[in-house]
Amino acid sequence: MTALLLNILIQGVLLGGLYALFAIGLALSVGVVRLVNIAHGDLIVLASFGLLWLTQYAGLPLWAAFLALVPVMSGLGYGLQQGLLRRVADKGLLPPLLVTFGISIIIQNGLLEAFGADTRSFASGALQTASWRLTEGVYVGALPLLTLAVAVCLIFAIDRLIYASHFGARLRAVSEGPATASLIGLPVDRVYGLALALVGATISIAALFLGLRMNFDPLSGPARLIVAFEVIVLGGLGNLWGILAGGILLGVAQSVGGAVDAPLQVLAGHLVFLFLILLRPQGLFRKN
Amino acid sequence: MTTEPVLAVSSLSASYGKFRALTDVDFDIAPGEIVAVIGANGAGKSTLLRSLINQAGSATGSVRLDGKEILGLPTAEIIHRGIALVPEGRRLFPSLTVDENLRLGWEVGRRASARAEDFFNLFPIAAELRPRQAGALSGGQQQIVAFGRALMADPRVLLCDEISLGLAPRVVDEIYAVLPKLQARGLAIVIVERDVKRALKAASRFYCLLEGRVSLAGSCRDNTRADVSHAYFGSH
Repeated sequence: MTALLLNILIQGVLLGGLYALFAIGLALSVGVVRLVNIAHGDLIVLASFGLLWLTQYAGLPLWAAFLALVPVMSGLGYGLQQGLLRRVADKGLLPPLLVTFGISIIIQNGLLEAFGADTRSFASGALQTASWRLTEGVYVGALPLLTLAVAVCLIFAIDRLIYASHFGARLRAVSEGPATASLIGLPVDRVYGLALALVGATISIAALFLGLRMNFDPLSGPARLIVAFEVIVLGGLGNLWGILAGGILLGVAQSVGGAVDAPLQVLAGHLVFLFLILLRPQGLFRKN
Repeated sequence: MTTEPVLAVSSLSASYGKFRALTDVDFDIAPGEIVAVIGANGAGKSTLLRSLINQAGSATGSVRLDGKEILGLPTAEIIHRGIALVPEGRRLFPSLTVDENLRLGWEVGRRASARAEDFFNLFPIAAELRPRQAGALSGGQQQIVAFGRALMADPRVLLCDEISLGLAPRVVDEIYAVLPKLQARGLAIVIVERDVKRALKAASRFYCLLEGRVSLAGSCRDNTRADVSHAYFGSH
């Protein structure tokens, strides 16, 4: 019984690493650019299909495809900000929501047209099945552990970038007071563009692990978006390490729910989210 | 004026939508000169300063910095070319440290070396504040940092918008005492100030705005109190 509970807990924690990866980009969009990006999940799925295309049709190995994808997604983030989102940024809350909702619809239908409705995933060979036995009935998968480690490293790197670099000071200044930033000569739109380029890079990482850990299809973006939203709200908007905690909490809730009854897995996560948000509307952690 | 102006403004008009805030303003300032812009609330003083850095609605006319037209250029480009603003209300980034606020000023400016040391020599107290969050400082300390952030850009023209507003007289004295030192280095300083007496004392020339137009301009010494009062309040 103890081993069973321990295993459920460990699998939940490891799943939380993946959920944190889904959420990091959205947390940056909301926290820095003040953009509630409805297309976030679809952008992750788009990037996964990008990796799929690069590996299956262009013949690149997965690592090379990933390296090629990062600048493309960063460029897409920068381009979306400079070409589209900046035009609606000061028009209130609704226009950016509608624009990103439109982007979401375009991505879903574009992917359906290009790739069909089949579910896909990446082949990861031995990594897929490799695991370590901790004790009787308790296993740690290599890929889930790698996912969690990447999430921790990514959060640490972004934390240092934002709070210990000159670029981070610019991001925080523009996020805190865009009008003041403009008044003193900071190029606000360019800084926002670079922030979304960073989001694009994090989306590439999330897309890689989405395809390695789960199936995806053209319409699976909104489900990723909901997970990302729940994680950043649980963790406390504006707290990077809270994202990891929020992801782990959601992962454990789903893991426990799934152990009780498989169809309960997703519902359990949502119920825990609703319960905690009633208890602590500000999230689990204080905003930095 | 004997010296070529560093900043020359002619026929400057600015509007916020249908509201015209400035009409045909002519204005100039030479290197090493302090000029005061005075006027009642809503006269267009702050709009004039913001027009110079493309932050005031739509503007027409001409603004020349070192003989080159800058009207309509992006704010970042104008500040990079040598104009910096100490905004009304200080407008620091409260969660950033003093050091980070100052560095942002340096980054957007002409990136001259040793600006920080220079600033800390002018305001020794600021050196002690460097690691502290700007939002945790007193109003006077924040004003000094806001002043420093603008100086870090190494401007040729410094625009000071209501730098005495809401501050203790001692702090205001401290900031105003620095202006002649900056003036001696060739910095052109424009002061927008509600405290008319203080502004006219610090400046050599002044412009008085009334309903967006220059109602009086000239030497601070040559105009009588009645002249200034008439230009400030209009005909009654």
